[in-house]
Amino acid sequence: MLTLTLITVSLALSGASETVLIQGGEYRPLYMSKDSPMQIVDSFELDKYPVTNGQFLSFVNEHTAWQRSNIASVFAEEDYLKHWDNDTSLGKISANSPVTNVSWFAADAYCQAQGKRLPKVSEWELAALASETQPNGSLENGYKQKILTWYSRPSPAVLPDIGLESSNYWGVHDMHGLVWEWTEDFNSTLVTGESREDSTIDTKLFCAGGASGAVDPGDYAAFMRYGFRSSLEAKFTLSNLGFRCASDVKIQSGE
Amino acid sequence: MKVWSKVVALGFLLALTAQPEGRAKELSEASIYHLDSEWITQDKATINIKDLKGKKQVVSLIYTHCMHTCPTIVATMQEIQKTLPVEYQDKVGFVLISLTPGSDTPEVLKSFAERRKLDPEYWTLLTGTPRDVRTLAMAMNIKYKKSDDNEVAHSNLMTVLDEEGRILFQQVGNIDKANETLTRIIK
Repeated sequence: MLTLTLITVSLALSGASETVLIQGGEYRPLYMSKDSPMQIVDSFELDKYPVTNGQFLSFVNEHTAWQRSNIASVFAEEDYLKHWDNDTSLGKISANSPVTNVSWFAADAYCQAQGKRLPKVSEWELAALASETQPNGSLENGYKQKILTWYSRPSPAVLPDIGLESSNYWGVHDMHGLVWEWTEDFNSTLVTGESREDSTIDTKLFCAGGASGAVDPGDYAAFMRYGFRSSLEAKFTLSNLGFRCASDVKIQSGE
Repeated sequence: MKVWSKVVALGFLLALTAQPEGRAKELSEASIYHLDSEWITQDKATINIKDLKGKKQVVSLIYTHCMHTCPTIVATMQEIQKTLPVEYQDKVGFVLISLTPGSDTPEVLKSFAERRKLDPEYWTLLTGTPRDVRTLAMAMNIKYKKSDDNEVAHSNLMTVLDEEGRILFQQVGNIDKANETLTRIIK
């Protein structure tokens, strides 16, 4: 029985770092004017699932500088991995649930250790645009509403395991509905962070700041993601913020 | 003699086991110098970010072909340097880090520094990998977004680091803030 459980866990763990190819495409950043060019996103590889507690535990076991009691305060807030029992034990937390309470620095280091990187905002948004049946789910009735419904629910105290919901068009799971996710360049969201000014930017504070103004106010879920990202600092650790990794498409040589 | 060798052996062991830990502890927990990243100066020297330790540093992320905010930031930093009391001149460094490391080569930085009359004794201009720039910006909570034409929208901020590399405070890089910033540096 124990062996069986172990096999199941290890299968799930190895499956959790699988990646899928996301075909490149065009994406219009939210904070750009209607006349601004679409942003071209190259094809890239994205993890099928968010990184789990079990995977992150293996990482800190190997890279002890990222353990809870070793990490420098410049890289993470006090709540870093607070839901674990200690440096080396998850306690009651499911190894297959998405890891949270990790800072951007820690997420970035994890992906680097896998030979990967965090996805860019544009990549994440492109992959997250897909519904179960098509690359651009926003064309589908009720799709945006479904995402918004999740955003309006508080996160459960105990996060469910990864992969319980069906995958999207690309074969990616849990882009919406489980946890928020870090992106490599979340700090490129140029809003001031003050609630009364959140949708405008103080052009005096930014070089080239004039290139702002939203294009699709109908995509309220995307607004929420932008608002959320702009409120983050890289050392923040939140109980509903995890991550997954991405990588460039390896160019096949020959043939 | 035996005791002596034991002490030496023990000392050696301690040094071996304690070194990584001890080295890490040399730096304050909140020091951005934990980043441990390497940079190239305007004089093509490779430095570790940690080498900035020991002085207060006024740091800004800019790029040399920026027409709007960056010249103001640099002018503000120059004003601060100019008005520093003599006894503080050697205790404060000024660091400009490029947001467009692809085009801001050491040569470009050097000519920028010369045009702007930035004394190399006090001014360090750095270029590095995009990843290290991103990570440093993260550590200082600086926001920026590069556009396809190599322009960068970025926070117009000066960050003042203490001798240990901890963020003392951040200030908008406007000339009217020079005096206020100076007062806080020499406080």
